[in-house]
Amino acid sequence: MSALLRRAWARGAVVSSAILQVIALAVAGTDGAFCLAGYDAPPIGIAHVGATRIPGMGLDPLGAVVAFALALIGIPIAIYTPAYLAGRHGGLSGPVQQALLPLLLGTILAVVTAQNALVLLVGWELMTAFATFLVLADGHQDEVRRAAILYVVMSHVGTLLGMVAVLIIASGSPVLSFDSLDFESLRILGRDMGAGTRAAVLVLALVGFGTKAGIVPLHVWLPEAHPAAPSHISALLSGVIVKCGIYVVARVALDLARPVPFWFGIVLLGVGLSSALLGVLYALMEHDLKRLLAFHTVENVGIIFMGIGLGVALSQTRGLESVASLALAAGLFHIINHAVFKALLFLCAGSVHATIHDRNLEEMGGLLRKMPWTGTCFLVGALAISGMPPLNGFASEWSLLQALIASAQSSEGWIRRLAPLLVAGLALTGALAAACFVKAFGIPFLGLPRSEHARHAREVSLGPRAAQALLALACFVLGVLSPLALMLCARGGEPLGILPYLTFDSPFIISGSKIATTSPFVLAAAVTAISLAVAIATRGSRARARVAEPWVCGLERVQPRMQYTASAFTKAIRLVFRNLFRPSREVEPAEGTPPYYVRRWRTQGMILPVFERYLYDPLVSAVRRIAALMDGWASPSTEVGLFLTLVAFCVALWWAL
Amino acid sequence: MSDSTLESVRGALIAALQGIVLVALAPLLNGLIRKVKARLQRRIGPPLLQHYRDVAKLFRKESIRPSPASWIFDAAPIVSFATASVAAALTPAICALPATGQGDVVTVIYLLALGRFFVILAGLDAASSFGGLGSSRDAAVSVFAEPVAMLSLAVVAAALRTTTDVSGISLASTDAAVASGTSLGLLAPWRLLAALAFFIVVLAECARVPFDNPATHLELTMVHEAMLLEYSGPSLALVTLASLAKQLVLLSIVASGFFPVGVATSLQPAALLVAGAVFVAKLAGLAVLIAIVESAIAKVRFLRVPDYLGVAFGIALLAYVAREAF
Amino acid sequence: MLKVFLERLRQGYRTSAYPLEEPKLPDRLRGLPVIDQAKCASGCEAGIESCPTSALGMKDGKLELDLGRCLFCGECERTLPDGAVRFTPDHKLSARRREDLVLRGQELALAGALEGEMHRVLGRSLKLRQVSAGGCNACEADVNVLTTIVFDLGRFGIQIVASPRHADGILVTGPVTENMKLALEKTYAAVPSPKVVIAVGACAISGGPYIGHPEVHGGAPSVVPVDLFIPGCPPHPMTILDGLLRLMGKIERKRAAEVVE
Repeated sequence: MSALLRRAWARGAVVSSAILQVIALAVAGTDGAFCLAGYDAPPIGIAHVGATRIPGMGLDPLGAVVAFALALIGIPIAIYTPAYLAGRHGGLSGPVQQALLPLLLGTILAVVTAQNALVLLVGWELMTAFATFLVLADGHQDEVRRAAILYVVMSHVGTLLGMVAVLIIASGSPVLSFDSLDFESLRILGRDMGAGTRAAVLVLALVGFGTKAGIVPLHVWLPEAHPAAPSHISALLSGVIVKCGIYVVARVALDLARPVPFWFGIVLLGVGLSSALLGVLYALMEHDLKRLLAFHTVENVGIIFMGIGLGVALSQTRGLESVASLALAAGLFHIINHAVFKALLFLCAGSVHATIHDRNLEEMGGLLRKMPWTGTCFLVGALAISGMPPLNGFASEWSLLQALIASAQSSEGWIRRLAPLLVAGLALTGALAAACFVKAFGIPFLGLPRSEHARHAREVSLGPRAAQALLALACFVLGVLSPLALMLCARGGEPLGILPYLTFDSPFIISGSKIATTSPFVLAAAVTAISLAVAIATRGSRARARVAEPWVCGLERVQPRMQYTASAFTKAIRLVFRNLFRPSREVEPAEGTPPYYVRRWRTQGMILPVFERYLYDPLVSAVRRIAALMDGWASPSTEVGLFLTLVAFCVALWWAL
Repeated sequence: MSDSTLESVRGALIAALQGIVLVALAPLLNGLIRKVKARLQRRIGPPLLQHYRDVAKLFRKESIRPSPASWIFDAAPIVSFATASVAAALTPAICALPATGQGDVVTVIYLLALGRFFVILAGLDAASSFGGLGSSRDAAVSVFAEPVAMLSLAVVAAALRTTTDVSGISLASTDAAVASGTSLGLLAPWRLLAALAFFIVVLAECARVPFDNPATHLELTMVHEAMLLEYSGPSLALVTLASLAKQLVLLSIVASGFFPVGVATSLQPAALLVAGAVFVAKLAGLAVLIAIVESAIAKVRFLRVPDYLGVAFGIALLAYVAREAF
Repeated sequence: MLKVFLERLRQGYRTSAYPLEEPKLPDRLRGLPVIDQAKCASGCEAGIESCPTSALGMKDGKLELDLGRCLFCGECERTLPDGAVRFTPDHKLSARRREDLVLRGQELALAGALEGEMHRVLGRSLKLRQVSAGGCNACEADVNVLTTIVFDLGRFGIQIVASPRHADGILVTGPVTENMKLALEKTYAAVPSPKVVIAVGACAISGGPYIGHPEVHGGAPSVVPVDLFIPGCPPHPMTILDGLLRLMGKIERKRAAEVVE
């Protein structure tokens, strides 16, 4: 009886916590939306109650973009979680996870509403800590623990660099106090920095906080941590926590360290393009569904940085103000969009994992017929992330592309020079993403099941289904209303000095003097109308259709292993980019077969992880070598260690004199 | 009704009319290509209207569904037909009016990509190896074709200092021609190079030689058709119509997007008639060009497809640079 | 390249005008055999034995020749009394019914067009999937050649396609070996109806030289319902073309517009 009571109690705690989360996030989302729309703040908001503000905090349009994104995906995640927690074994207990989740959400909100560097950094560190606990929630296998440690280490090293950037700005102040770390005071200090100092701040902020955003080559933690975490945490990681990295880069580099030099815009564009391309290329080679999604986060972060970078660069050339605003709005809108479709994809991936206990695409197949809801929602997410009209990914990608095309008319030589490469690069990214998501949807969800688990897959329960459907709906609504959303997101440029010159006459049509015309709403209406008409006209033939075995050239019957695999599907692309991937293949007789008459072969294909091999491995071994050296030198006694520490302290103080 | 509402209703009607006409003419264009190709081989070739007969026949035939297929298999022909039709309504063709808000050419490319996404998925849905083979190859071709398409469109917009709007491109071209007192702007190097790059993309996107062989019977050498091997009856008719419409849409971007000479800028019947005649003449010219290309060169090994598209990318880049120089 | 194109333009069309004009075929072509029962008065039984596929037979005292089995080898012309069987260069051989192929001196009932709905659907567009059910590649080669410039099958709306799903019928060659039986059945099943089956060559009609072989099923009719029989070993491409056009109903109505547009 008591066990039953305990379970009921735990379940009740989980559900009521989820309900509270939904309410809190609804408040946060309303606050964010009001802030973007320029309305008076609602009576209760994230950083205020009535007129009383929490010291060091406040919401401005830039933070509101992320806060809104958090609310948009946090509510479905809260709906998704209880069923997920009920259906799992091992790891942290449900109530503990459910207690950690609001803490994580709270720290995220603290980061995006901070108006004080100290609040920001404290919130940032707490966010990392809670995120790490939740990454570890699903068990303590070695790989999970390694992923968590990698995440913590990289995040901390990054934070250290970022903190230095903030302190360099603050160092102009005669006193160091809580108030002197207010953004208002930092902005004044930032204005007077020398060019060299400013450059140091910008680069440190980009590298430091960009680590959390997962820009290449600092992205290596991302594809490790995402698969290790439970899926709703992956959704939150990709959807918002990574965006917090972008947000803090923008806040520190583009807001506090203003005026931003032109070259930094170009740097952001370069970082963005390389992250986008490398992210999507590595995603294409992945067979692990969640790792694939994680690499796509790298790609989309790249696209966001391209938008922000172009906005920064263009805002300094005359005549293209509306284009600059469009570029920035596209970048910020993509923050929301990516949060929505990536959360959707991760939740669906979680649903698949929950029923077949595998993340390997090669073990899936035919899931759409077993899990029609999850499959259809995954398809919507796949279409959205591939930039297909009329969904939200199309709106932001198209806007960015148009801004890039328009930037070819800039008076700045460097922008004109880079514009064609950026246009082609973004188009290539989009096309590769589409190819990747054809694979990521087609291989697991279509065709015949490739494993016993996949054959017995079952649809998830109502809560997760509702969460996924909500996010899929959000993809559609954000796409159709994208002109409105872009106008609102353009306001996020205000704190960065990129004024919102974006106004459209209609909430359904994007159009302007320097901006081409498109309307996801009209496209959606037209395509839907024609599709419906054709579907109705041909319904008779579909109803009478004969079901037959697929045509396999007269063979006895079709076998699941006749189907294309995920790795076969991308072989052409792998070969074209072989200089990057360095693919290799081992083919040998399977174990236990006689060598002269081989009935079964074992083949293994792999690609070279370039960044791990040529950047991180040497770095790690260098650190190890130095540590070993110092170990032998400094460890004889605690006293020697203490002495050296004191010497270092004195040197530092002497330097400060 | 206010003037602007009237204008947009009129614009929508014109676009719808254009869509219907282009989709209806798409099989004829391919018939012409086949006819010219046959003539170059000293054959008589299939009748000009053969595609219509094929499609009419397919609508009267039985539909067969492969047993592993999901709803994607049924939806793909419908979606690809719908997107191709909407693309046909938005593509630059006969007239360009600033007020119709026809939209821009980039959107047209994105729409076609949506249709292609579904067709590629349908290739995987039937669980046959051929479908996977076609899907994989089609996805790879699109990956390398898309950047070239976008870049060559960007060249036009940048050179004319306008957007990629259909009306913008057309009006800027005529203005430029009028201002310089000559139509030489229509044969400027950047325009020719960008159009050439885009034309190569059209060959790749429409599964034509040297990227694919529309007449092949051998599954192993197929790209586009391998994805459609499972389709029959009305569904096959729809995907066939969709690919034919897509071909016409892309060719009319070449004809009226890169060379907007003769595009009507008013709705006078006489102007529309002339513009229509010019448009048909341009398309016929392109059909002959495709037939000559297909007769002159052989299909390349699939892994060399990126090389050809790499050359196209180089041409587009050259066009971008040439725009500054000339 | 330009020179090649110009030369081709100068040469004009090289496609034969068939069926508007009779094709110029060599006199030595062994086409339609003609039986003269009178010549058999002196007894044909001895000569019959010489037929390698037993296409020749005596029924009710009359000589009969089964075109479905005939290899057109001409052996009977030599062994039978002079003129009893004489091969003419007439290439028109195809029939819709198996029994029509058995000649007893009557005129060959050439194939008629498809009837009713079948003709309405398939009369102007016919796509075929070729199945070589153990063929020796002779019939296949003669089908293949139909797509070349002289015969130019495409001008009649006929096309050989890769997928049976796209096809309106199958064109079978070969005697249907044991290993190909299932494939043939599956291909037939894979074609959406309405559909036709065309058996090309003696093997596909009856098993030809392999009649009675334990590993052979005796041609397409033993497995699928055949709508058109085109005899020969192999049939001349013109014979095949003639059969296909008759099936589509393009021969009786010899209107120019119907045939060449």
